[in-house]
Amino acid sequence: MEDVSEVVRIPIGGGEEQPAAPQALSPPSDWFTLAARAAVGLVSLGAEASIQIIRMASGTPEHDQDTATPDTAALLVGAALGLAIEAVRTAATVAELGRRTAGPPASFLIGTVSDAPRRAAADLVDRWNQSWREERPEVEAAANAVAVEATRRAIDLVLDQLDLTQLVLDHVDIERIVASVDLNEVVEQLDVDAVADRLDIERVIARLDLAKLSLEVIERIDLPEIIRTSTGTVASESVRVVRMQTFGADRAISGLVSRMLGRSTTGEAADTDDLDATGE
Amino acid sequence: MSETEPPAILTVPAEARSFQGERAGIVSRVLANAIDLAILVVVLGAGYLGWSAWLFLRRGASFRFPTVTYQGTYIVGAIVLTLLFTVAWSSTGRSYGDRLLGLRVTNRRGDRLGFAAAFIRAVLCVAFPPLLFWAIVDRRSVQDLVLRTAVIYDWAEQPRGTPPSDPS
Repeated sequence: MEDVSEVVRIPIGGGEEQPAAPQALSPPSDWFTLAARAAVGLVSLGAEASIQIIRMASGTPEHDQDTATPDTAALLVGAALGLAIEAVRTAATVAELGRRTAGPPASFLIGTVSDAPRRAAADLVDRWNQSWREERPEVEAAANAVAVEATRRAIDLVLDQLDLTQLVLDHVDIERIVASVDLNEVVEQLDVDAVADRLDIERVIARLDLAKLSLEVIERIDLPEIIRTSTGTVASESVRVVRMQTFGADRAISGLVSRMLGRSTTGEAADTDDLDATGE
Repeated sequence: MSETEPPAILTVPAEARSFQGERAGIVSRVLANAIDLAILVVVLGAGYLGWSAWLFLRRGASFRFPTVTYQGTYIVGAIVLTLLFTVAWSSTGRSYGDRLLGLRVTNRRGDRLGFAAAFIRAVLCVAFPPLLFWAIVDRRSVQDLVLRTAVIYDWAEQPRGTPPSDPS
């Protein structure tokens, strides 16, 4: 109950009607004052809600929070609530004064006279407490079920009124979120083979313009020039045979000369060492 | 290799790739020269016929085939062969005999000969043909040693070190 004075109340409309704000008062002096303030606060909330409903029903446009002036009903309700708060505060002060003045003798008299009823009341409270403890699980379960169902319906009701997709688009920086994701790690966890197995390659190929692609490849590698040079290189099978035979004869003579001169026949590649650009 | 550069495709047949770029032996070089000499004979014969036809047109009934001396044939043949070699080695790097045998004449860097180098090499080859046979010992003729040139196996159509085509 001590936290009641700390609650931040959210205005529900109507602008300036701020009836008897509890946070503007001094800390509560006792339970009576606190309870009175809570009651007045609840009345205030009810009154504001009622005013809002009346406005909606009557089609009165809602005032802007900053510029509008309070209407008559709000003004009267605010004034009444303020008066109630002041009355409560005065009553609390008078009651506190009376309690301090008549407290000790009254408590002695009451303690003496009311001992037997108090014990009876204590027994009654114990029985109630025992009964409560026995029924507590069932009651709590029922209460939980009701609370969960009520909460679910309330959330459904709220969500039905919201366009969550639009809210996310308006208020969430999706690019920042994506930038914080380690896509490499995600990709490493992917089973690419399984994805590839699910692909319909035939459909992908069917969408390609293979003829155009082939022409681009032919143009890029200059296939006509390759064909021309290749044809010139291997113009005739007989020419290739003659070349290979003369090459074999070259090798044979080189090997013979090398053996006659006592040179190593494996050093033929070294013959081209002084050619700076023989690296084919 | 950059992305814009077309892929280089080796057009040398598989059986020749193992010795592509090596110095050519004596058999290949002698055969190539023999083919070049045969071509020279054909060229000289064609020249003689052409010259005769020209004389026939000039002299008419008094026409007689011109007498050809050995000395004159050698001099004309030497000049024609020198010109043929010079043009071939400085342009494509290979005479027709070299082309048939898959040979190419290069300088010491593996590039095509310049005109002056090709001319000097042609003069030396025509004037001192026996010096070619030093290639039996060293795979380099005396002319190659003097001019630091080389005759290599090259079955590729294009000169060494150049792409098959220039797309730019």
